[in-house]
Amino acid sequence: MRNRYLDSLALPEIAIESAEFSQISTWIIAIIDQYSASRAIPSSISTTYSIEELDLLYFLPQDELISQLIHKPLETPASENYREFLLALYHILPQELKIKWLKFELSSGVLAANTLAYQYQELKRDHIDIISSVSAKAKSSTSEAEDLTQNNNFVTLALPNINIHPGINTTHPIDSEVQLTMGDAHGNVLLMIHFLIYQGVMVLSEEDYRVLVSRYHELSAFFSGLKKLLSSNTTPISEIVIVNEKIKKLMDDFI
Amino acid sequence: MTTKSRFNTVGLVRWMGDIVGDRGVLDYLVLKLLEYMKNSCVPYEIILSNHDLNLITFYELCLNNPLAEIDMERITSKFTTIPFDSTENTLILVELGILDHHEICRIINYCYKPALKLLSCTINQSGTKGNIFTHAPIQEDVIPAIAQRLGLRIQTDNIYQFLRSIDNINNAIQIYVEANMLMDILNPYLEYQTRGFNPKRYNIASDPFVTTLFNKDLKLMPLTPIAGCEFVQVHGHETVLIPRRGFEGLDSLLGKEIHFHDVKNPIIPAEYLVEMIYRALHSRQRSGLNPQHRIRSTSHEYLGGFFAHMREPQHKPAPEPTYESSTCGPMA
Repeated sequence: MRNRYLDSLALPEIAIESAEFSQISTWIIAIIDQYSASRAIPSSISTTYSIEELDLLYFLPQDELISQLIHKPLETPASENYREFLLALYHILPQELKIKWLKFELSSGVLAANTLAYQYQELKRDHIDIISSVSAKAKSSTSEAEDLTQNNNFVTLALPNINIHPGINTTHPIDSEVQLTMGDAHGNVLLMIHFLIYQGVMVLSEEDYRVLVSRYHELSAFFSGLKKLLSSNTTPISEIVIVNEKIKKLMDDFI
Repeated sequence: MTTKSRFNTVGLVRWMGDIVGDRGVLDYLVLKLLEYMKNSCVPYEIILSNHDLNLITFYELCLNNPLAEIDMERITSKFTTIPFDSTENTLILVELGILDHHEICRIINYCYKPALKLLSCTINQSGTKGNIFTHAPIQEDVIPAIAQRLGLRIQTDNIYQFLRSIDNINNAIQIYVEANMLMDILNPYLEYQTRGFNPKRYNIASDPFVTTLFNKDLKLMPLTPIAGCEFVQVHGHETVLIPRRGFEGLDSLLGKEIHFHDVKNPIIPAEYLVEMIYRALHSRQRSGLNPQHRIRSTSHEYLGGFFAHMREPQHKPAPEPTYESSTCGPMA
């Protein structure tokens, strides 16, 4: 498979189907290096990755390629552009490849998955938009998926953390004709609010969300303590007063 | 009410279940969020799920009966395998007199119960593509079995008849919900809650409700087109990592209260991280034929239309469907 980006790199001709992995991996790493060096990501919000450039990765021996990719950011931790690219790459990979990726990290004892999670938390909202647009392009590039889910957009968020304000999903804005469906909430009101904020239904500032998360976890910790008190058959009058205040505070301020 | 948050206009928010009676902190918080959404005229619906039955059981057994004493030990002994911390914590606070049991009943009656649906269905403008939403994954023979148990039948001559049939199922379920008799038709559920769902033992014809709420068997045949409409079955209940044709799973481990014990320094085990995907459906398909059906579960009814003039209308009138209403309804 050839594409215009690879052609522009003037790399040696190579038939992917018959090539040795070492040859291909060297090749792909060279592409990534040139990619991150040549693109000033994320200097502009409108900068997005071309899906044709990333399509190539689907045709490579996946296990070894992933191992190469994962070790790369650890060797060059200062390369923000590369991390950005890696995160976008992770996001558009098929689920099977994501699992392989994470399993490799687990088996190799490298905490790259968690590293990736931390990096994700540090990303600004603009970066998330870039990743979302890459994901949207990846979806629209497969005609079968588009055909099966006409008028449907499955919104995904890489490595989400409900303890952090999610920003707003600008890729899929809402209006009075849009129906939003969320999966199992597990009785977690924080997850429900996180979903409503990210989809643009509820508006809550980052600072307020931080306070909400803090109070929610205070309440969560309190209940584990309260259950112990109840099991010891003591009358936790003071504890009751405290939980009453905590709930009231949470309710009055946010819900 | 808070001034820190507000809502934007949206067509519908659909919760795929497990919003109460699960591992969360407190059902009361979820109920208050629903009340806030309802008071803010945000339309929503709740797909009935196995964990939701925990709260419904407690409501029908205890909360709704002011003379009944909440015997936590007796009740919790039935739920040894299914976590329901959020309901348990709520009941503890009711028992201690911190939460007003009348307030909880009021919110359940006005904000939770009217929004419950056993299944939901949407189609695109041309009526050629659609989604069927249930909590657990199902295959196509479950829907007629549910209708039969409720004394209804599924009409599939055209897509509008099918949508009306789905509406009829939900309307019939609502009768049980409003009468606080939902558990009467879901009797086998306690067995499944305590022993776990065994797909080899269930009989769809006799337990279609149980299948809709508990099924974890993912080796199902995709739905065949109904009246020329190709449906995708959207479900929760089970995290699905491998894409399957005709099915879309929205469940994940995200928010399951097992990852972030240390909030400041969250260490996420990689095996969990794989399943901690965030997946939501953003759709422009329509629910059913009649927009009034959607509005039924929103605040318009609750507020008596008093505040309706304060916001712009959320739903454009749907084109008149071409179906024969006389062909739908109870079986002869």
